[in-house]
Amino acid sequence: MSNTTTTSIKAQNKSASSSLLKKNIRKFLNNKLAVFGLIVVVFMTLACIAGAIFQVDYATPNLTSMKAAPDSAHWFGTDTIGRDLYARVLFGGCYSILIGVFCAVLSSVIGAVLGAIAGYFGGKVDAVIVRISEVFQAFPQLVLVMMLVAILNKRGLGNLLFIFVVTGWMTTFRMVRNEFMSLKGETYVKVCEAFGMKRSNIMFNQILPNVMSPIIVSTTTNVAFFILQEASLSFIGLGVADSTPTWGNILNAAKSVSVVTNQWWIWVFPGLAISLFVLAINFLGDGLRDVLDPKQQ
Amino acid sequence: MKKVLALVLAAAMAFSMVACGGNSNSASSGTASGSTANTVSTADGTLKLVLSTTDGSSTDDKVPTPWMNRTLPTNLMFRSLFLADSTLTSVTPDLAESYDISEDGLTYTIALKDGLKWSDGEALTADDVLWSIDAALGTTQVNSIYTSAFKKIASKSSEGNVITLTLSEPYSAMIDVLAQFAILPKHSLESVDLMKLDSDTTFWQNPVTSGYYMVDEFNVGNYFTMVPNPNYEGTPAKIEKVTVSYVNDYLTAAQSGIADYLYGNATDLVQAMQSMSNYTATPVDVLFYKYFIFNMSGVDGKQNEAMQNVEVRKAIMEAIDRTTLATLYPSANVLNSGVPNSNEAYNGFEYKFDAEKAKADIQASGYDMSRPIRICYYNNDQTSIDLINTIAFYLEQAGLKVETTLSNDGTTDLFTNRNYDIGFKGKSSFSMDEWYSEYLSTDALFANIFGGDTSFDAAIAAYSAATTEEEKTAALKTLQELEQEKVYKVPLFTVGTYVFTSSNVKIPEGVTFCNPLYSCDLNFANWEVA
Amino acid sequence: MLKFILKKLLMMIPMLLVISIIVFFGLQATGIDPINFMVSPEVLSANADNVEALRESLGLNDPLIVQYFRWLGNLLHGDFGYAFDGTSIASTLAVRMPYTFELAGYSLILSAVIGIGIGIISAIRQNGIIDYVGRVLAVLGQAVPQFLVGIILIQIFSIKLGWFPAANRVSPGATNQFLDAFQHLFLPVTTLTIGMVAVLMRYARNTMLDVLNSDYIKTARSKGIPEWKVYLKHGFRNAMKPVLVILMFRIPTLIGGSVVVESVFSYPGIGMTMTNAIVANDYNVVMVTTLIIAATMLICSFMVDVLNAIMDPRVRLGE
Repeated sequence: MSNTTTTSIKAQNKSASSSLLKKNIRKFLNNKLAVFGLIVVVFMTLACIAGAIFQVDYATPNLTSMKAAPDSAHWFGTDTIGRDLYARVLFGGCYSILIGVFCAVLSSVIGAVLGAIAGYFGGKVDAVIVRISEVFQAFPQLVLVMMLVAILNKRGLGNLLFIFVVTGWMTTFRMVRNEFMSLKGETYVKVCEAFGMKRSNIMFNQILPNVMSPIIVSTTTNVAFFILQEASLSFIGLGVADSTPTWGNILNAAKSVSVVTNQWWIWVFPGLAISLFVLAINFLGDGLRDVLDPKQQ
Repeated sequence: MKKVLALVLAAAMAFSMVACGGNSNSASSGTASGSTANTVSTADGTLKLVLSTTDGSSTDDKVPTPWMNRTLPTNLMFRSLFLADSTLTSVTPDLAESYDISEDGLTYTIALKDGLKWSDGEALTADDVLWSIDAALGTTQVNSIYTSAFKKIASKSSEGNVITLTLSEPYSAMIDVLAQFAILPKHSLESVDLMKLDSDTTFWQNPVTSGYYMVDEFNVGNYFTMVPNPNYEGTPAKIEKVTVSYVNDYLTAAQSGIADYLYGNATDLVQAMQSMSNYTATPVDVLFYKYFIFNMSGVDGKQNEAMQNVEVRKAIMEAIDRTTLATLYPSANVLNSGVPNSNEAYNGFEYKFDAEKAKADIQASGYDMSRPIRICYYNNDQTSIDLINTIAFYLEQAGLKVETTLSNDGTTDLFTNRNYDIGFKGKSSFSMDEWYSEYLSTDALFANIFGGDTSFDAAIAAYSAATTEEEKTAALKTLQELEQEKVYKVPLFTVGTYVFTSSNVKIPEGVTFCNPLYSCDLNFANWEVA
Repeated sequence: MLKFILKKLLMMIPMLLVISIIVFFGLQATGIDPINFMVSPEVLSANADNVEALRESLGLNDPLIVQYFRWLGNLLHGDFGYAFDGTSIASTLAVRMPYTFELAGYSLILSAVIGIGIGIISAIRQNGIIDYVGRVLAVLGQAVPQFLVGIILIQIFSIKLGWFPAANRVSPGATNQFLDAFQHLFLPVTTLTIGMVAVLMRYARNTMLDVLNSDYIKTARSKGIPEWKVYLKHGFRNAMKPVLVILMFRIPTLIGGSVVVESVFSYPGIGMTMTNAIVANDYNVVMVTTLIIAATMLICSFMVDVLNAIMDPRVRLGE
């Protein structure tokens, strides 16, 4: 008897959620900008991965054809030492997208876990974690980067990933914490507690799914944020080592005024790549927000 | 519908970026004329100079010390005993009236002009000269050409206006070095801690000077202006006012019309400046070495094992196509020792580029191919980065692994930790002397990198003491053979420097520019501003 | 309320201490020896005794913890110490801080006015031309890296058109100080504003939309209050609160951005001081500038808390 009711509820839930999913997909597809964003993001990511898989030659300099304008052999022209810019932008995309996605996901995970703990337990635990987050928020990222560079004696990709994650989790943290604080008073949480469910179970299996939507949205927009951040750090000279062709490092050529004036292709293509990707991610994020989190528009 | 409109707008904006780039490309000549208009409209009898805050030589809160580099702004304020010509090897009196060198080349007698005054009215005396020499030996920010010369002064004295210097060994370049050495006012600086001599902002924001000008207004972070020094005893300069702005990029400064004079050797700067119709580019003959230092061992015996085998070092040089690399610079000349290939004393030896041979040699040398070669470099400009990336590529072609690191700790990085195998450096040399004196076992810096090897000492002493051309050539030949045998440091090439002057400035006939980091006679008194 | 503010203020002290500890010991861990920067290598090996004496006189031989407390004590006395090249950090900051505050302040005001203005117009004329153009421009402003925006602005406005200077904050011989300041600040402020405006615009638009759809606005309209009065009196006032909070939250971004913008425009502010110090490993300067930036950020977050508390009494009770 009880068995049948649960299945029927489950079935109902299933059909309800699938119709919700359909509704959401339709809603998403109606948002032209979001669809555009999704297509661009997928296309650029695939192109970059394809570039990496087929091992496009991004590293061979050719000093006889330095700063060559785009033509059929070099679609994006060549850079200041004659490397093919098209290959570099593709390969750089792999690194930049990796930096963006890795840092956004990991910092969201950290932010969500800490936010869940702080919001759910409240009191002392909450106070301590909030203080820690404020300390990290107040810390200029530059200094952390510099300390790591100086300690490790290396401007590596690992440094950057570490620092972005360490300094990037606070926004997600605040959001999740606030959500948890209001959700923990809800009846279903009280019921779970009354049944003696494990706290970790309540936090991560019962409450967290309700907060997933804003987390997904903020993770998406964080990808864009970290990609831009990487470019800024490279510009100041504290990014990943020059031998790694991230979009930021490629765009660094724009430091040279004569490149900006005379060889537009050297900076416009990487610049466009960054801007287009960030733009697309932002559109996608907006679209997701419309669908997943209508109240937070 | 509207979203489609927005999409189109977004695309249009994105492409306008391209258009912007394209426009600025096609209008590069327009750029030049645009800034001409700009500079002409603001020209008011003022000479506009710039100092770079990004090359590490000056900071924007003080006049840079003339004891490191002699840049034009400081040359206009501080004088030396003598004034060099554009070759930097022939001098005329400046603060000094006359000089005399004894037969044995050990005693220098220098008479100062009478009635010299500092800009604050105090008398400029022999005391100032002697104090300056002592101070240069005791302070930190000072070019090694001065310290290595002054170390040879065994005793010095003055009697009235006459200074006597006695050397412990002959040093043929002494007068040339003195012609670069700016005399600073003892009365303003003797109370300053020598360690902080170059950073005493009370003095360096309004220094007491001996040259054409003195500082009028100092605006920290932005600029300083100079007005004629009322106590200058020679013909005053025709230009009444000079402004010196602190900028981070010379080219932008020139293009936006705030620099009447600048210099440089980086390709992008030189090419862009040459395309500006309102600037005159003058190539200058300088000894600007770009070179590799192999990190060998310290005086303490701490060795860098990987580089000990000379075959490895030679193979590395064979792997690099320096002739092609030289095309990264507007006018670079490959050379194989401290002596330029065009010099008569060049011994004809050559590090030939041969990728195949390099690959075979490096394998034969027994070098552990899985161990990366670690290169550190000092300059952060695009051309240097490009150069290093290309070198890394060549070495990878020879089967080596390469790690390159931008170092911000100067040469000391090589020996404070022996983390690097090769240092890549640039040196704007005063003379070949300076190149070879780095090999001295007593050179505090390089003794820690070449393990205090004494094999060069005798040959260097012979070269410093040489007075005739034959002696010099012979000494140079010995030195070249030694360095090609040891392979401690290897020049890649020398790069040519350019001086650019804007059409605002009228430079008198017959002026030849010298290395812009040193001082020479530019007949500045007769410069005019349009 | 006073108690709340006081409590929040007191909380800042331990946080600043924690930050100072991280900065101090973190930078010590880098193993940078200031002596290497103060003394030329030649002197270093020639006069080992003098160098040792210098090291002793600078207190570099004391245990780290002693050095830390001495540094902290000096800071509290207003002695910020010296850069490696011997210049007083306090005097450096006295010149540079106002420049940065000027840059950041104008950008904040300008981006607030533009962002909120366009945001509100977009909300009132929802789906109108201004709405769309504004939104697209905002998203674009967010997508192009800030330094690239700066470089493009220099190319167009300083080099091609010659309207604005490309570097510094003050020109030599400027007669009209106001004009000079305007010319030097225009491009960097614009660059920073472009980056800031997007978020504000979106936020202002959304909160305004929420407010306009709320019941009391509908009531107000139904009472026949003129449309402009509805917008101004009821809409604007209520929409402003959350927007102000967001504005405060953007200040760290603003400071981060000014580090980049200062280096693009050779603008002699504290951001450039810090970048140069980092590149030169001058950790005395790095420590002080970091602390100052951290303190600014903490003060901003303090103001956010206070603003929040004023607008929403529940926050106060919750604490």
